[in-house]
Amino acid sequence: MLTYLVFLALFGASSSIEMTFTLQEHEVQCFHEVLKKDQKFSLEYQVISGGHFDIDCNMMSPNSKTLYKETRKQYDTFHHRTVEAGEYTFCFSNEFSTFAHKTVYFDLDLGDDSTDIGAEEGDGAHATALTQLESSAYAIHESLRLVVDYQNHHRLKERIGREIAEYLCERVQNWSIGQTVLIVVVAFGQVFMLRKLFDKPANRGGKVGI
Amino acid sequence: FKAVDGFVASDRSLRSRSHAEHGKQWYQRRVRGLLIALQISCLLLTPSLSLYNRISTWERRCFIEDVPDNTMISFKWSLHAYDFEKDDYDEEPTKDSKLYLFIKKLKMTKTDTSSGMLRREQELKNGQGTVQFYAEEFGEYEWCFEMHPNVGQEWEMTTAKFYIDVTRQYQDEEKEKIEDAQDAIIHSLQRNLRKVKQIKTEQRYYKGREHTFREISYLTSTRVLWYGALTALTVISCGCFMMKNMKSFFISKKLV
Repeated sequence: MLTYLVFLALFGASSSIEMTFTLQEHEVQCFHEVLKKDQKFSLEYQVISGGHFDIDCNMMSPNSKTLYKETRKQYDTFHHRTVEAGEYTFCFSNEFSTFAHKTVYFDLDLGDDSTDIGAEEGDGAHATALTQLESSAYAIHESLRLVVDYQNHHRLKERIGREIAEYLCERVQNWSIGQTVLIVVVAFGQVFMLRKLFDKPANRGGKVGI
Repeated sequence: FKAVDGFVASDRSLRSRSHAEHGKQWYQRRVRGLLIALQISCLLLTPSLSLYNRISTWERRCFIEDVPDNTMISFKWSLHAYDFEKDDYDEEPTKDSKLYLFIKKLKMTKTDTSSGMLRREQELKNGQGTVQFYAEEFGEYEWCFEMHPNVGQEWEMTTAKFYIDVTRQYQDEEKEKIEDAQDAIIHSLQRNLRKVKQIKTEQRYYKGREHTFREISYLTSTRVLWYGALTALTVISCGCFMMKNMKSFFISKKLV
């Protein structure tokens, strides 16, 4: 039972909140999360659609100290260990953009102290409680967590790539049609103007000096 | 399990487990287009929402969920309005707050005709709850929450704390029997197996999307080729037309 509890403590204490939300132009959206003292967390965000795919992000501790501040970034990761307990705020700002509304994906990963099986090598009580089978199951779980993470990154990058490809496809069509029409119009216009230059003065209806 | 509630209060797999039980019952009696009454999920855990956002009256908060086919999307929400008398947000969810939910499927590509329609419009009451939506088609779903003023307070602008959490449950997970294993090894192996199935479902979906991406790229390259040829042809034919026209014009004017 104790092993089971320890096991669950190791596996169950971390959690992650991931969300994709839309941000209108000139808008700022803030998220708040209550964290414990001495808790490790990592915030990862990526802009997946809109404009130049960039956003401002800043993170503040409960006493309004700025922990992280970056402007016009496309994606970034921020790791931190909390010094105090309280409500942490992270804000995404699209104020610099005039007409592009953005879609932002963020992933707040909350890890707890006790999940670091590798870091706690000196802790004999934990090491002896787990057999080789249990530790390899844990290793599999960690690898799977990484796989899910990488897969997620891949999904986001594929989405950005696909959106650019769609945009390109449409732009190629629109500009080609526009260009063709322009060439035809310019050709007819040139012929018309040249012919008009050679019109006789009498036809133009102007005064003819004799 | 009860003994370790404190540790696992925000564990995702346990949350999805409680949703799996909801999902199983829902799956059995699902009727298309049925409005889902709110479900307060309090089975194993107390509502452990911790991430919140501030929302004002008439403001919209939109979230996008990109899911494979046959996925159950659950949004757990809770609204705590600002109390002007106490000068602070409510401790408990505000019962008379009104929240509207709009679910729309976004267009996958520009030529996708089946999306863009409103799939669900629902009024959310009672200040808290869980909304579940069974996504039969793969793609992106936009969930927009809009806060409406309370009855009798149409002209007041209020803010509220909007707690939100989202879980996804793929079709493979439903059919699996979730056992409450006492043995830690079996429990962790089951957990790993669930994760592997999740990865498998997602990868199958991403393979399909990559196929769409490749098709778009191929279409672009075809368009570049044919429109380029068309433009070149137009230039040549316009040039020939101009030369012929001006030549006949100058000859008729006896200038050459």
